[in-house]
Amino acid sequence: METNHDDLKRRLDRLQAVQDCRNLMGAYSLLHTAYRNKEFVELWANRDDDVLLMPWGAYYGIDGVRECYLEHHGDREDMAAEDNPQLHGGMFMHCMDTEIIEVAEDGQTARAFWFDPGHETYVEFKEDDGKLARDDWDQGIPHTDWCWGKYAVNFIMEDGVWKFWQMQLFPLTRQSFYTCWTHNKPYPGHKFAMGGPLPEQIWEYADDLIYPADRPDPPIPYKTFDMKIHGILVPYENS
Amino acid sequence: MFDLDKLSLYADRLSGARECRHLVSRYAYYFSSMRTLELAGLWARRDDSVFITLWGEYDGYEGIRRHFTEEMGDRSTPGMDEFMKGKVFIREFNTEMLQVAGDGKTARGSWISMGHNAFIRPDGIPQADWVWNKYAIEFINTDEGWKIWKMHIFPVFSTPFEQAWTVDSAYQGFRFPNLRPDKPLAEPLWHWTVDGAYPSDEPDLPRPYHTYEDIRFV
Repeated sequence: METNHDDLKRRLDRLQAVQDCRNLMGAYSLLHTAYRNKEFVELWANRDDDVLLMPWGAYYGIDGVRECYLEHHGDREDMAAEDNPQLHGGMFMHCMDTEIIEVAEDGQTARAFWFDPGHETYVEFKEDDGKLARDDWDQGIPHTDWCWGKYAVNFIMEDGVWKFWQMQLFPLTRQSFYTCWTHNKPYPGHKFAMGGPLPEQIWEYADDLIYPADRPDPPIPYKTFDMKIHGILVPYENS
Repeated sequence: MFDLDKLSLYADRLSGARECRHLVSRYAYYFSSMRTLELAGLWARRDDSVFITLWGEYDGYEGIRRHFTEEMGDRSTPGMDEFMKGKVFIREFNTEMLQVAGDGKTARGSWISMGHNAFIRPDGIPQADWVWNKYAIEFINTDEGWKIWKMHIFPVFSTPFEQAWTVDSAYQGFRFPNLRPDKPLAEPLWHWTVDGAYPSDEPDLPRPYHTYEDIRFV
C-alpha cells in the first residue's frame, strides 16, 4: 500500500499508461482504415531502434516506419490516392480485442498483445499495361476477405508522451469471405517486394502444422525494459 | 507537497474511464436482451442528450427513452415475447479509444462493433446478417454517476451472412417497425462503393481535452 504522494502518483501514472497505450492501438486501427498514415507515423517514437515486422517484410528505425506507411502505403491526401485500391474502393479494417497490456514498474515502457479480427476489401483489375485505369474503376472486381491476426507491441514514453516503439503483426488467416479458413492460401508475400527479410517465416494455417506456442508470448509483469529479454526480436535471436 | 485533491481527481478520472467502458458493455447487453427500460436508463436525463442512429436522430432524454422503450419495446411489455421470437441482435465492442476530460466531468470515446442479427423474414424464413458498426460516444458525470450523453452510430456493413458486403453494400437488414425519429439524418449513410473512398472521420479520433467543448465529435 502506497504511503506517500510519489508512490501513489506512480501507481496512477501506470494505470493511465494502460489507457494511453489502448488509445494508441485504437488510433492505429482508425487511422489505418481511414488511410491517414501521415498521422499514424507521428504516433511512433523517433528512434533508431523502432522495429516494425509486417507479414511481408521488416522495417527498422523511424525511417523504416516512414518508408512502410508513407511510401509503401501512402496517405489519403496523396496525389496518387485516387489510384490506390486500398483507398479507392478499399476498406481495410482491423479491430483490436482480447488485450493484455503490461506497463513496466518504472512506468517508462509497456508491452502488449491484441487479437485482431478484421476484413479487407479491395478492387482488382485486369491490368493490360500494368496501370490501373481510373475511368474504368467501376468495372473493377471487388474482393472481400476476412483477415485475422495478432499484434505484439512494445510502447515507450518519449518526452512525456506514449509512443509506438516495436510492433509485429502475426497473420492468422486471410481468405475470401466465401472460403473456409481451413482452405487458407499461403500469404502472398512474394507480391509485395517491400521491406527487409523477416527474421522468421510467418506461420499460416495448414492441416499438418501446429499452432505456435509463443508467437507472440503474452506479456507478463516486469520491472524495467531489457532489450535482451523484452525486445521484439528476442524470440528470433534465441531460436 | 502532497496534493490530495489532484491525486483524487486523477484516480476519479481513471475510475471514470472504467465506468464509461462499462456503460458501453451494458448498452450491448441490454440491447441484445431487449431490456430497453434499463437501456434508456444508461442515458443522462438531459434535454441535450442525443442518439443518432442509422435512420435518424432522437433528441433529449425523452426522445431517446421513447425510441428504446416504445419504438423498440421492453421484453417485459405484454406481447413482446411473441415479437422477440427468433430475433437475436448481438453487438460486441472493441478497438476502444477513450479520453476522460482533465476536469473529470465528461469523456469522449470511439469503438468498433462486430455483431450479427437474426430474425424471421416476412416469408417465415430465418435470416442471419453480419452487422458491423462504429460508435462515437460522449459521456457525462451526473449526480446518478456516469451516463451516456451523446451517441452516434456509423455503419460499416450489414449483409446476409452468406453474402459479401460488396454485393449489395447499401446497409440492409432488420428494422424495428414504426420508427419515428425526432430528426432525419443530416447526411446520407456512407456505404462501400467500388469507386468511393472510406470516410476519413467516421468517427474522428477522440483527442485529450481538459474541459468539454462541443466539437461535433458525435
